[in-house]
Amino acid sequence: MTVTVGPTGQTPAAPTERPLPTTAVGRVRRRMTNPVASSIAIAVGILWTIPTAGLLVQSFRGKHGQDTSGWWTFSDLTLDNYRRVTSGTANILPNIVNSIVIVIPAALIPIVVAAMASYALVWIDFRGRDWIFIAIFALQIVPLQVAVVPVLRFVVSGAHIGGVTIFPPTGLNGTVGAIWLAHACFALPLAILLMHNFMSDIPRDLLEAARIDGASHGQIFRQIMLPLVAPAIAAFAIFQFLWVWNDLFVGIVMSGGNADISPITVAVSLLIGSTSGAGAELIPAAGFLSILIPLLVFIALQRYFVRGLLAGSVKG
Amino acid sequence: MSVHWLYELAHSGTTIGKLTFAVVMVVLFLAVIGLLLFVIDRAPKTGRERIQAFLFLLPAVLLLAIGLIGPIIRTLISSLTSEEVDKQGCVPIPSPAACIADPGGKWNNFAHFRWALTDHDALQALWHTLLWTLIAPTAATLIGLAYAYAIDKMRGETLAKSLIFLPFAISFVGAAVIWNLMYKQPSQNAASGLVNVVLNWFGLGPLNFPTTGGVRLTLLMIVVMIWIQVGFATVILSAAIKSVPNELSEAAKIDGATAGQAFRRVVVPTIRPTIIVVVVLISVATLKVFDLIRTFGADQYNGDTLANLMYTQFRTSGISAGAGSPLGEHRSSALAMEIFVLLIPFIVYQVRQGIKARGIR
Repeated sequence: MTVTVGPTGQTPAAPTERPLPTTAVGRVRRRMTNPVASSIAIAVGILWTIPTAGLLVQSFRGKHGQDTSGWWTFSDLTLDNYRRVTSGTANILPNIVNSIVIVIPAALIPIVVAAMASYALVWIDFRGRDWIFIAIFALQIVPLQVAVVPVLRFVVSGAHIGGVTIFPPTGLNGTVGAIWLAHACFALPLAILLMHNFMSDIPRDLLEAARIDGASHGQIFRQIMLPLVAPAIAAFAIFQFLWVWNDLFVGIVMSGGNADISPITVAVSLLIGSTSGAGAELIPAAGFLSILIPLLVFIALQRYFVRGLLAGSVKG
Repeated sequence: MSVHWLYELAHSGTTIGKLTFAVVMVVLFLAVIGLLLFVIDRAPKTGRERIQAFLFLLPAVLLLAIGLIGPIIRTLISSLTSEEVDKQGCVPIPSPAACIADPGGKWNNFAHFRWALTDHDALQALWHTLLWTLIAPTAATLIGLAYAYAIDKMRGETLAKSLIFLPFAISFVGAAVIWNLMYKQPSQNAASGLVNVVLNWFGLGPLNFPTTGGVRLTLLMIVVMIWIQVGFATVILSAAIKSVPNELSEAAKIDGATAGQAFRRVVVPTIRPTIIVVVVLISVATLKVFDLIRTFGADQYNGDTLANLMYTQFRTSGISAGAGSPLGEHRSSALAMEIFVLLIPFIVYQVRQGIKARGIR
């Protein structure tokens, strides 16, 4: 039951019951809740899901079935494809492990770094902070294409200006570390924006009371701010998990085609590229395995994901 | 050396090794952050706030410098300078420098950009990228808006929203696999995809995906992008529609409006800022789209875009693979800058939104 604010700004004493609609919009709205409109909307939803369902069914069909009839016939069902992509030469389980190993630091590092940066941007008054915020806000739009190759070079050979080395090579070249380091950097603008929006909503009085009690910024950050922005952290974590897991570009550039460290998306895209003849029947199974975990995470944690999406897109 | 075991761990080929490396690095990172917080609490009294702000921002600034700001400058320089030229068939003894005919790095009067704007393949890629950016965001936003309004306050609204949002959780690679199946061209050893079967019912021929090439191929791929992005638009616009106060709809009734008019004249103008945000975000995503084109292999059939061409050029540079032509890196930088230039209007928009948000005069 929502509480509405009257035109002069006062709120009614108690939430009002929704009156029977007499307006044209209200009548249409009521009609919209009728079974026909509901069915059409659900039908569109099902239509949207058919392509994914098709892949799932196809992944359970043998080569003969896939070559001769559509998946809607449900013919030639077998577990063979899944057996072959989880063991033997076409095994993609190691790539799933790579994806997991990439996602963990790529999600954790931006959260901590962004929380600290946002705290300063929201609660510490210093000269130039508005422009720093705007710069970070604008960095969100910068395409990865402009940044990835130099980051790869940095990982391989460090940073130099002229002949001076300001950063030695990290030694992460050819490792999974190169991939999650890149992701951690690229996720920062959005992470800072999300944290910033959540932190701005926390009432100033709370923090001023703590300051009056003699708490320092470090203490306030650790003991008050972090627990309060836990929803933002959860939302961003899910968002970043999906983003990093589903990424192809950063993974394929930073891994340099090294199959040992390729995340699952790179592995599937290579599978498609190489098997246009033999082994092509494995592609649906490999493809579905690659989207299974994100699908499960999404279905289970939808609410938090949507919340994070709204916070990052609508505000600011 | 103590660092040696860390290096070995980083290069480990086993599952346990990789997991351990990730955990170790996270622990190290948290230790550094802990140290930073410790130092923050012990900041000197004079200029305390400024020093603390600096320290809070330090990790972010460092990572942004390494990951974004430095690279942007580097790519810009790379796109404007000449490439290194090596002597053919030379043996790099006593050092690699012996085989360098021209070390490059000189201003080349926009040569790479001139290539990007005159080369046939690069121009096709630009044309396709513009098609993508004009069609996908507007179509996805319109469909998302209509759907969000249609399901508003409906029974089963949550389910409908979940179903339409599901493709957004799937990777572009996964989506390409799914739609390769949908578009599959019937042949001797391949069954027709669902789309071709439906087209057949209407007496229309198969799509010839992906060999049909050109604009047709691009449009078919754009359909996939729309399939993915409609859910994103629906979710955000649905939240915006719900935030429109009832009073406004009541006022429309006083003026005798129908449902369609109420939608066009009341709801849409009220949520206009959100509609713009959605269009901007989908446009930005579309300009960068690489995974779909790459996985469909569309560049072999004249369906290339700037982002994919940038990657192909990068591949020829051989930066991490060893052998290659340095020209590829500079051209890929020029293409990356071209994408960046196309994004400038959106960056300007973002900066203005940021200024408004901070209330700066």
